[in-house]
Amino acid sequence: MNGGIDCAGHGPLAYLRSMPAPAIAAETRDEDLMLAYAAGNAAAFDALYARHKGGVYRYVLRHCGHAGIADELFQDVWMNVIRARASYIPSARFTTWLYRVAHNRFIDHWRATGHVELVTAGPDDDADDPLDAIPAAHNDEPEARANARELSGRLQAAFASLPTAQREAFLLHQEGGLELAEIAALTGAGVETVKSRIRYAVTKLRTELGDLR
Amino acid sequence: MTTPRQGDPTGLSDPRVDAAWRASSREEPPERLDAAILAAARREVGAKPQSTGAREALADRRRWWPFAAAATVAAIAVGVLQLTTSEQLGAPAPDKTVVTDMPAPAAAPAPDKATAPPRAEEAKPDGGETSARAGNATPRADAPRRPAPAVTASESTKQESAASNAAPLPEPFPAVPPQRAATAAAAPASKGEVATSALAGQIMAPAPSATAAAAAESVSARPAPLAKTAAGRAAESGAGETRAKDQAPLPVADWIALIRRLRDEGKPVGAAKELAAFRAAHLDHEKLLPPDLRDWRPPDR
Repeated sequence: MNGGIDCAGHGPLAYLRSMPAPAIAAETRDEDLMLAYAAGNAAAFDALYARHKGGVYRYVLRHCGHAGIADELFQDVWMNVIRARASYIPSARFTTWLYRVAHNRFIDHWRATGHVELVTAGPDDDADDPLDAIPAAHNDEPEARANARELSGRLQAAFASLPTAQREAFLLHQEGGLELAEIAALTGAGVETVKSRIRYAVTKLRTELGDLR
Repeated sequence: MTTPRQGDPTGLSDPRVDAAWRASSREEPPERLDAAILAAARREVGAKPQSTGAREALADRRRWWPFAAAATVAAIAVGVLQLTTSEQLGAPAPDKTVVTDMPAPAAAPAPDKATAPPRAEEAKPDGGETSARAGNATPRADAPRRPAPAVTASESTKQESAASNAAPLPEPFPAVPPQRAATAAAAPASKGEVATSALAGQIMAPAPSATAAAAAESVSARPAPLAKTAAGRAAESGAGETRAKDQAPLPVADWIALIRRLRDEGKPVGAAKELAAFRAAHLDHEKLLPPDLRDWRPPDR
């Protein structure tokens, strides 16, 4: 994972540190950008943030269903990334590490609010999921709901009706682009379980979109 | 970041769902959040550079340390070299053979010393005791080396003076013409000459007594460049002590008789040496010396 850069070497880091954000945004790997940021290149973080801010924000927003809470959690996630830059080791994809930070922040949030159990507690989905009680995003996002098209509304409604574990797996797969194994490692579930959750979520969403052409 | 997956056979992705999701999921964080996060990121980097960056910065600052260390070592080396005599460096120092307060002409016979044999360690004055001392004295070499021979000369002269009940103050040896000193190697010398020649770095012939002969051999065997080394000083000191001990009971009359005998035996160099030593030992030598010796000068060869 760390093939592009040498943590101990001065050349690549010095090069990345001196590069402006637009130049490193296109061809540089996420891991290298994070290392460059850890080495002091603020422009690397700009590029990294530009790449992943949307996915992380939607992940948080879809999960919590509240824009205000999503903003707070989103900011916390990136602040944790900033603070953890010194200890970052590119042993896995940066995306995996980033969404693990977001996932953990979400778990902390749920623990603090005491609303639900951990989303990764159960091996499988559907019934008895306490997160089902949380309203869907469109219920707490009037501006977004007002501007959304019908497709979007129905899709989000269908997504909100999914069990939390399925939403988690689907979001990590769809927004974060994580592979099954990565999602399994992140959530603590088995790969087959993750595959089942995603398949179930996709099937349900497709069913909701069935009459739309 | 929505990742499209087309034709996923596992059922994990559906094109319609993906397209609908991408169309409906376009939320972005508010700009105020972007600004706050980016500002925090820059502030963190600017305020507290991370470990790697800190290491690099520290390495930049430490790049001059090897040069400073090298310069320090060089300065110390130069200082040590300046404190080290040329003899230790292996270079001959003919101009340093005489370290006394004698007048300049006494600084003499470098040419003879060039042919002088081995080192003081190889000589065997007094059954090797002096050699042992010379060997022990060799390591402590450096700074106090230069004044030492002069002190030895003074002490030796003092002992001679006390022994002969003459003037107590040591007086520098009278100047010896270089050409005469150059010829001194072939001439026999008295015991009193040993210390003088040792201090002056001159080559002397064996003395009459066995002890003095050994000392003289030691001194004569010493090459000129070693005249001021610790070994050389120790050898000189040993020879000087032997000579002073032997010389002490020599009364003025006997000494004058010795000078005359040497002169009459056709040994003008030895006579001149003894005469010089006598004058050095007695401040009132003009009164003590008979007229024939007072104005006597060895003939030039």
